Amino acid sequence: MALNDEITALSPFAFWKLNDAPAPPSVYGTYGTGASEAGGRTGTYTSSGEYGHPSLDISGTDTCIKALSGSYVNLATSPLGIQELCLNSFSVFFLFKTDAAGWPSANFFYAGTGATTGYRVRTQTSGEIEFDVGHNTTPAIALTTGAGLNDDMPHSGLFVFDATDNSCTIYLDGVEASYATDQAGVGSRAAFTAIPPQLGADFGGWFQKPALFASALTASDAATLHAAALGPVSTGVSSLPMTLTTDKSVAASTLPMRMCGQSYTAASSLPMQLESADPTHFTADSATWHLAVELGGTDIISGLLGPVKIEHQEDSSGTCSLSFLPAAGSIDPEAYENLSLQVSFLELDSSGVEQGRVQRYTGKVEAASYDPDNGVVTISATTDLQGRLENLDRAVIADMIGGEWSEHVFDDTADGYQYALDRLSTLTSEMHIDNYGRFQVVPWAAKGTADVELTDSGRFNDTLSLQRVQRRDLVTRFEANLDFRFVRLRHREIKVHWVSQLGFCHYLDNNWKLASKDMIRSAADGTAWTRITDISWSEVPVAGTYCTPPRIWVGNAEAFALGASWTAARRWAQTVTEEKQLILVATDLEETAGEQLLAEDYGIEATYDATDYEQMQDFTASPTGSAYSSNTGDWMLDAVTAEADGRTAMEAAQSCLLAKGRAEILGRARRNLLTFTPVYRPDITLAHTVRVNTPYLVAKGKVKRIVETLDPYTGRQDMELGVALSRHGGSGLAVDDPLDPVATPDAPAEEASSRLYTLGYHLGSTTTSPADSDAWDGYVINVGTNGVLYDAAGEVYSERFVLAMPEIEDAARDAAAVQQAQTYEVVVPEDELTMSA
Amino acid sequence: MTAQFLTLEIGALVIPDSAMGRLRVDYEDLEARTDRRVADGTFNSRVGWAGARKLLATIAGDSWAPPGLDDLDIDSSYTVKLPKQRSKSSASNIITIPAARRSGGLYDPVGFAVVDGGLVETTVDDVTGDVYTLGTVAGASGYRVEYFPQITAKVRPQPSTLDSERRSHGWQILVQEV
Repeated sequence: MALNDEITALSPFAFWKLNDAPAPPSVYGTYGTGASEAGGRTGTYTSSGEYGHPSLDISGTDTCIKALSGSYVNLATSPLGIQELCLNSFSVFFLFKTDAAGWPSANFFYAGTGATTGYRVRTQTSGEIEFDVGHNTTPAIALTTGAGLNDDMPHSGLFVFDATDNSCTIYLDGVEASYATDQAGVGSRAAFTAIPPQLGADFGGWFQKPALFASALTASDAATLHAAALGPVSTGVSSLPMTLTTDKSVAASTLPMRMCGQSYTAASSLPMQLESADPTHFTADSATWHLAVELGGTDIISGLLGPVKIEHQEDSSGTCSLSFLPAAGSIDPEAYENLSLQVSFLELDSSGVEQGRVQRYTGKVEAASYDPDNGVVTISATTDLQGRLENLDRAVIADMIGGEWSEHVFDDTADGYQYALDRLSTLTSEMHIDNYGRFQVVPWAAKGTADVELTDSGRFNDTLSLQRVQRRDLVTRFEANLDFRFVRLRHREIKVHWVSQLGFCHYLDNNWKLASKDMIRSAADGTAWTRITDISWSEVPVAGTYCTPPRIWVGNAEAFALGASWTAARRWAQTVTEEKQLILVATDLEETAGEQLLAEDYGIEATYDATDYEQMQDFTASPTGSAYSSNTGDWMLDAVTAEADGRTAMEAAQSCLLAKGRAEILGRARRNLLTFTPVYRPDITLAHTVRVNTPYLVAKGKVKRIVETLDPYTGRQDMELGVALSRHGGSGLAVDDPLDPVATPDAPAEEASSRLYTLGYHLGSTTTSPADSDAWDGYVINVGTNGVLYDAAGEVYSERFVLAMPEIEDAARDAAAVQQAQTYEVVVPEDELTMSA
Repeated sequence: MTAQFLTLEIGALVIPDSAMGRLRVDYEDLEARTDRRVADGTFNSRVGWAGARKLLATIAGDSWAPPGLDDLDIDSSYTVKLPKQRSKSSASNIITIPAARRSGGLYDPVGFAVVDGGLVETTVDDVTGDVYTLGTVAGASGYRVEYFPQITAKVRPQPSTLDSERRSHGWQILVQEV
């Protein structure tokens, strides 16, 4: 908030915003004895106003008040009570800007006079600031140093008296000042009304925003008020280490900055060095250069012997080796190990003045050796790609590299480096530590427009060499066989009908023992099937006259039934294996190289214990989430929701395998390597695409390898570049298929089996009854009345009710396999390569 | 009037006239330069040593007295005042010459104008630091300043000889600017 708002928010007792525009009621004070002062204002004083100049320009003539020696500003006497403030806790705030010419003995703020009463803030000729409450001529209540405040710069002052413990606190520029206290005068304080409150009597400086508060403000208030007026409490200057790299060289940059503290500055300059390679230097016919070699932060160039050799290569640590004469003293090769090593290429003019530099290597010493005969230390350094990744958190590595990963494809216990390699293997990219020591992941694909074009003027003769990949090293077809085994929970329902095919009249005619409902119910609930519905009965009629000729039926047979129907269900678990074959084919490459197959096998088993499912008897419907399959006639639910090894994990593994296979194919196809020696260029990195344009060979590809040997003692610069060229040599008609996982297959069709089980009656003891059979199901009963068989000499059956529920057929119960195959076409990039005689 | 000979001074040691005799001085500018040609035949030169050039002077004398250099410390660096001039030419009469030069008497730089293929000595009108302003000469196609180098160098004696038939001592030193 603006200062006026901050002050207002603290509910001031009186607040003179001063020099409000546009109009009175004026809040200006009057000078007591002097004429109006240039920069001050003369006018009648009034009660405290609500007006304020929004800006804070304490040096301006329209925003504040200046009181010269012999002058002071009378503030309003109304609201009353200003002089009485000191009887309780109170605070005084104002901004001031003092002339540089020392302190007078003068009052900043004064509400009282005489020897014993009131309160004031004033300066001493000794340079101290004094805050008196209960003013008297004995030593002041609080006294602090004003050293440095008469610096012609704006400052804030907050002076607080806390009546609860008679303590005084002084805050200068928002921070509590150290001060000496003497509370002897406190007890004598009283309001003194003879003179209105004054500002700046004899002070000779500028004032602004005086405010009085009828409470003891806090340190936080002091900081807030100061910050609103003059910026945050000073914390000194901070520096920010920066490294910027660009393609342009500039001498210096300016950075608009705001310094927090006691003064504002418009802008500061920040010395920066922008590194770039200057084409006019490295393409010149004659150029002077040098190296800067820092070992453990110490420049060793003066002791360097022989050339410095630097090598960067895709997917490898960068290396650097050199020899130097160490400083005199004891030698311990181990002391050099693990030291940082930086090598920069310096572009000099012909006078040896540095024009620019490019860092070509950043690493650490891996091994050091000492030749005592010659006094030479030899070091070899590495960018330690493996070491930097080994112990990194996997989440960090995943962010750095991207790609895909599955525990079903890769080793879950691998270290960070292997984890990084695994993720990288699903990308058509390489990783390395660049010349600035930064981790980089760079796509293999050559850019449409090369970063660097080299003709014969930019390379040395007899250095061009093309090494083509061997056919047997290519992969044109990648086959991933992935078996996904899981448990399929099945639920079959069957309707059972015990049919009363003879009818009630036949019963009346022939008589047999009716079947009790209890018996039927007991039979229905006594099988491996679970009855999931109530039994629907074919009831025995109530008492009455029925049939033709009519017969009288006495009824009272509710406990019995002529027929019944219900639904039963059975649950079991079936092991299913989806055998997926994912085939990636680079058809263009296969046209020329033939089929070069790489096959890998993987298996995932979704963990699930089906015991509880199969033993469950207490259910009344199909399982939640199951779906009816017309192929099998059953409800089915695949137990594949486990996070680690369920279907989602399996599909992620598929996606990973597809990406990995594609990367394998493309990676092999780019093993063609073009090597040559260009005129040394310090701007080339592994991220660049280079096009070589010579009379007999034109090629464009991504830089795969850089070996640079720089000898500042002969001036010789050697650079060998290896450029990867991806080629298929085919018709170029292939189109990338989306690498989507294979869709979930339907359950295989099974031979239909009946979902209706009907059973009837077998009546014995009739003249036509066939022989009893153990194979019968249904109600087996003998015809007779009251225990007297109708034809005792005929076939008399063993009376029984047999419910022979069907078994689940083997095809539905045994482990099943489903084969799927999906082919994906993959495009191999064809980098530019033309050769002619 | 005493004949004045050009002297060779190695630190405080002045090689006497009697040892100079028939003196031969060869100058070679050493630099870390590799010259090659690129594939289209363009000349390609790369210079190390931060562009620095160092002077190698091979000095041989043949006279009736040996030069007295046996006590020379080959590990120390000496201020060597060389007896052979170098020259710097320019189309302009204002020429800047190296600061590492001898001065005084015979060894003060001398200015010449090239007139009709010949050298005509001219005045040195102004010397500001290393910048020499020569007096202009009518018809001059160019100007040059000749000076005697004075370098800080390591001095390494080479094998010396005695030719008893000619009664002469042959000696040689390599003066390598540090």
